[in-house]
Amino acid sequence: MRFNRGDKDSLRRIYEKYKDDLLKLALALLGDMALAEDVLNDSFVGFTKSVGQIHLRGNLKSFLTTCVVNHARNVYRARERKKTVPLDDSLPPPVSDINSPEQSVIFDEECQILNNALAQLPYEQREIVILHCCQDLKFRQIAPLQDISVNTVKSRYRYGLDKLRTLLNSELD
Amino acid sequence: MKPSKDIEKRIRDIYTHRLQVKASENLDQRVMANSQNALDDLQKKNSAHTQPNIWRIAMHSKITKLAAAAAVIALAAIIGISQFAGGTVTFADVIKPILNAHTVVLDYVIGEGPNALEMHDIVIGSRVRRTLSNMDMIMILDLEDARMLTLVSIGGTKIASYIDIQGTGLEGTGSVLDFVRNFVSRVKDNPGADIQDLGEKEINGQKAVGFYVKGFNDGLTIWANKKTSLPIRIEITEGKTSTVIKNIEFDVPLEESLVSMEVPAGFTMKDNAIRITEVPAPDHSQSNATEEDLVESLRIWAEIILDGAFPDAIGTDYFIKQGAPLGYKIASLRLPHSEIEQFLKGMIFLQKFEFGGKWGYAGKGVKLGDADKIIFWYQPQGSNTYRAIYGDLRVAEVAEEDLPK
Repeated sequence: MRFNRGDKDSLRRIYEKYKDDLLKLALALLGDMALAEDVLNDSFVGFTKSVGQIHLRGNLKSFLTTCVVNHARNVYRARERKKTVPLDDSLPPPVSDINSPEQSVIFDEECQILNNALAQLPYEQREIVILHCCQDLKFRQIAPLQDISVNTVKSRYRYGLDKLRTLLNSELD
Repeated sequence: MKPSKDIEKRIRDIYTHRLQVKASENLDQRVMANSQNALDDLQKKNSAHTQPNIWRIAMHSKITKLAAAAAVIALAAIIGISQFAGGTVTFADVIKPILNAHTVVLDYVIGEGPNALEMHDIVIGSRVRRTLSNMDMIMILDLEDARMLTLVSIGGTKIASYIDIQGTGLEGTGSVLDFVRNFVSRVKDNPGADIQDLGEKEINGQKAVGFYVKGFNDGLTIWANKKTSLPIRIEITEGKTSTVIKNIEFDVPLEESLVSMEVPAGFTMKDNAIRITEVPAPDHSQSNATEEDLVESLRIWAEIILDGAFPDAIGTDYFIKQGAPLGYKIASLRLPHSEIEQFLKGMIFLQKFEFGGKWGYAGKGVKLGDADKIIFWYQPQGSNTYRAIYGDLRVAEVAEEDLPK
């Protein structure tokens, strides 16, 4: 890969190619545009720092997806720890979190409903549902990301999907 | 269509078609600026490593080969001459990497023989990732925030917990590198410091030069590679205890994630409110542990942990050897935190005079309540007699000749 030699143009091309998809993934995971932007930034800076050290086993998109997933998980946990007042955890993030001032997100009512429903899943289930349904990752690809077995991924996915169905049906039907 | 397929389709449809996200220009600028800064830093760091590549390219060109070969010989000569000309390694050269390195990897061994405890430290700035030779545990220390993240695997269950290490606990659990840094800093700034040149010897196949510096109650020996001045072995003596630091590497490129205070995936977070703020400072001056704490600690040990018997031994050596099983046993008993803290505090009192003071333990085989048997004794500073703790946990003044042999 040319970028391994620190080519700035290559870096820009990689960023341009994947930025929107990765930002969308981070937004789906965290439900907060400002945090999603931080995750994209940190993931790319981390990727840049790894120049010459990374040995890609899959493709570049998978590698960057993993970076975003790991950073998003760290951000989520840090945010959880900072919660000093244990308000109702099931509360979805406010709508204002989603829309950035620059309106770089087209986010209709149905998106909002999905986002609210996803926010009510335990984070690990949410991550699996998004990675499998939206990123087309296979269960065996997700398992090492969460350091769990494929069977656990499957059961978390099933629980997550069941809860989402209930939540979405009650909102949409 | 199966219900699960239906819901998957809905999620996929919303995510793929309805949710449209585009990175803003501001974000583009921010990410590219930060990434390029990171790239610039990296290229500066790697400039030395990239030179051989340039060299290799030059050597493959037929035209430059001859000149390059001559240059190589000249370069080798310069390096050789420099080694002879500047061959004297000074104490100042040796302590430079100790004081300045951002990342350090090292092993250190506390004590000697089968009871020795070996630890592996990865130091990145003010954070340390520590593993112990006899425990399946990883400790990540944030010395700036005085917090420790412990990661333990017990019977297939991975448990994470945060521990507050403020106060003297920070010094007790901190980085051995910080201890060495503080030591050499004091020496560096003291023009009257007695630095002894130990001459040369071979360590692990490397020619090393040594320096010894004596502190108030401790001493430090540094052996450094004669050619590079990089320390390869550091020995610390404090009372009867010795610590050896070896396999030292300075400024190695390391992933910051190694010292992340985030709980890794797969670990279950357990809230651990045990505070170990009473771990003694190196000079023990700040510890307020008392003889009563030790008595209480022995009571907990005999009454609760060991079903009426006193332990075979106590002290740092014993903790090193038995730390893991003892820790698991205490954890399995689910003692209240106040009791665990009390237990630890008593052991801290012991450490007050363990290194250098006169003390003894004879509790092996003694049952709690055995009023005739002395299980522990120590000589308070400035006293001619000893304080003795009996099997029934009463304390009395005892002359030296009346102590267990």
